[in-house]
Amino acid sequence: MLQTMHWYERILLLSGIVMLASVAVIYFFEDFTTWTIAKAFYGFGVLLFAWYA
Amino acid sequence: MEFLELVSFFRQAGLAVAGGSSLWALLFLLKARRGQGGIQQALALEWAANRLLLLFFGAFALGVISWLYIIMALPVFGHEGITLYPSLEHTLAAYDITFWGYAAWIALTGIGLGMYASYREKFKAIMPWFFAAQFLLVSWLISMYAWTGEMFSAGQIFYYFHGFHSIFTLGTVLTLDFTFISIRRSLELRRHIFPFFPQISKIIWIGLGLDFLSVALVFDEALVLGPRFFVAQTVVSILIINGAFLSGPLTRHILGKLQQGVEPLAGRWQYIAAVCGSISIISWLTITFIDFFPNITLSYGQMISVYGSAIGLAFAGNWVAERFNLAVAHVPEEITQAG
Repeated sequence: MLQTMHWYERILLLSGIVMLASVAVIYFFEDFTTWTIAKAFYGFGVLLFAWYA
Repeated sequence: MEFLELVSFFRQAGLAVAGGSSLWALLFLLKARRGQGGIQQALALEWAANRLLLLFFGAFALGVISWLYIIMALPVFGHEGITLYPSLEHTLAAYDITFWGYAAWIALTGIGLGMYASYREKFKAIMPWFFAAQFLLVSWLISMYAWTGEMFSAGQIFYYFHGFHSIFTLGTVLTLDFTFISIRRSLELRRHIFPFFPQISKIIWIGLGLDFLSVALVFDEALVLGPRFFVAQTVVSILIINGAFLSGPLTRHILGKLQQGVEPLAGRWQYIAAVCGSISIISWLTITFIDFFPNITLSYGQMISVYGSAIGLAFAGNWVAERFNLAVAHVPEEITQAG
């Protein structure tokens, strides 16, 4: 299924994975910066997907 | 957990689904009555819009009953999480402003229900206007859950977007799921209605984007780290990952098979669709639900366990419905005959 995904779908998928990882980072290491960047990336991924889908 | 918080969630869910079902019923009717897709598509879309009336009236009942309860016992809110929680003063001000809006909603829906019961053909003629009015009114009611006194302050704009986005997200997700379940036994209905699902999904993503942008307006004052925050962020992440598969490869697979006239959900695809659908509906319900419960005392692990169990239950429920042919849609003869 991964091979059939369009590029904007892969970016969205990646943003979700990064977001999940950043939640773990902020939970265990209280690193707020990582989460902020991940949140911005997820926002970008969602808006990109909404535009191209 | 306070009972009034639960009622407030039901009000939001009722308004969101009423708005979502109105929006999509209106769009289906407009598409059907233009007739550009042929007679079969027009009949299928009219059928779907009539089906959404059931969802709408149910959501209306939930929203209005909850609102009536709330105005009789307005709560004192506190908050935790990445949402700006309104003060009692802002909440009271909003309920004052929207009181006649809710009264108008009850009147409009009551008239519509009466016409549907007694003058069905006349009601069908004006249905697009009915749903258009419903969508506009519900959009205003759901956006005005708090009033700061300043129409364009950052906090007030957050309230507008945070309230309204539920129509595009939770409301549209439940409308889409209701429609999907209604048409799943009919290849004919799916051939004509399913091609609209990508557009519906796009609106859901726009809704999520709206909420993301609105949070940016109130970030510093709204962000409070705690179990609710971590659960919400975890569930949003899962939503995005699941959505990338559901809105992408799965939807394309279904559309491709339907165009060939072949059953799309066979073999492993049936399980993939059931898993993705269960994750989607439970995740949207979860993040809307916890938004209304600032005083949840469950730990992160406990909430995630409940979330996971709910997904399992949803999957099991879908399996039971499939196994025993529940919610079978009756395909109107004119749709198959028109082909």
